[in-house]
Amino acid sequence: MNRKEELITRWIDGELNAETREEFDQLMADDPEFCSRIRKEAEGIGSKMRSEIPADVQPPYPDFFNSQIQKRIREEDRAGAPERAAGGISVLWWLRSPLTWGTAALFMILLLSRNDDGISGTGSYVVSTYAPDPGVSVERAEYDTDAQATVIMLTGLERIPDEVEVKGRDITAYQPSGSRGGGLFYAGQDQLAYVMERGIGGVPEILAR
Amino acid sequence: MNFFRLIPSNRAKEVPDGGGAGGDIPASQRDRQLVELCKSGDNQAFDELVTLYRGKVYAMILNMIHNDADAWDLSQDVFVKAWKALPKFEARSAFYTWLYRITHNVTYDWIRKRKRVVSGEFEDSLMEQAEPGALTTPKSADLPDVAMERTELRGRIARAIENLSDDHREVILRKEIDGLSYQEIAEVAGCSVGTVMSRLFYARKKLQASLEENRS
Repeated sequence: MNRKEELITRWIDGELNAETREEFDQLMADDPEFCSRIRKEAEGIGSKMRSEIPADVQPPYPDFFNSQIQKRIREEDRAGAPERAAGGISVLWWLRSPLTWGTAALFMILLLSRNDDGISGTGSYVVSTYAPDPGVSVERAEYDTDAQATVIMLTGLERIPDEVEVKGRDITAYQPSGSRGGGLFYAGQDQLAYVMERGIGGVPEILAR
Repeated sequence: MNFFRLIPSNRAKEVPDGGGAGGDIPASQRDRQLVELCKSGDNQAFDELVTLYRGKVYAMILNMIHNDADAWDLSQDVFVKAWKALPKFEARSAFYTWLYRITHNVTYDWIRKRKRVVSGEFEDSLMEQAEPGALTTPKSADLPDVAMERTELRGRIARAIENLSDDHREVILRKEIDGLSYQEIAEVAGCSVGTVMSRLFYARKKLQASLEENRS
């Protein structure tokens, strides 16, 4: 591309500056027909292209398009959760160690593992379940007398890697507090372990002691 | 499989300089506000950005690769990459040029991979799937001879553009269809303004020659 071609291209596209304008004016004065012919051709091409090629096309199923992106972002965020957890929210420290990976962000179940301190029945007593991810729901969380274990059934949870060991902390007593379903959780001999409060929309917040 | 239905858009004027969903707020200011919200983890704000720019991004990719299903998938990739890269976006350039740069990278990655598979040969079948201009033409309202003429013109332009190299095609599309400045095209394509001018000049020259050849 020589200088003459560059100047004409700038002129066609309205990109002449003070310096090149002067140079182009000279060129135009020398050969106006040539400049005008090139411009006419370029404008013809541009006009044909604009008449036939859309600048904006909504993708098919635009709502689905958006929802798929949100889904992928959630998946990406889930995959990146351990990195963020390292500097994460202190009130959830108790979940961090056994429930790293995505599981920590996916569900939270508070239960009493034994009922020695006054709660009726046998085995565990489920106080609260909560899944922050709307794609995950707690189907069942109750003590199974036959298995002598608390069974937690979740749907929508991604496969948990085998190396992740899901553990909890033994809670021996629970005392409801507040009007919105909060509570105090005790471990061992009257040792206050957690304080749960309900935030906006009933979302539980665990305040570690 | 081509089960997607192409949907024409009425939002063409909204992006990047028409104010769009933000009403009287200039697009650049609206984008900045949305980007800041996104950076604070507001998914809803990002969803709004997706809605504002999906038509542009999808069209840019579709005009380059002429395959609606792949364009759909690649547009998804663009926005997911944008979401991941947003924390690093420092607003030195406009949001849309930054987003178009991602679009360029995603499209060129796809083209490179595709070329390895088909050895760079143009596939006629791709052109049959999505014709440039298919969305802007009110086919049913055209008289048969007008429709035929338009179809012919569309075909000639499509062939001429398709015969350009990827670099030339991209630059002429960004200039003539998206209306970007030299500087913006340079940012999007990752080259100098001089290269943009040169590519533009030769793209026009080749298109002119190609259209004349097709006509004869």
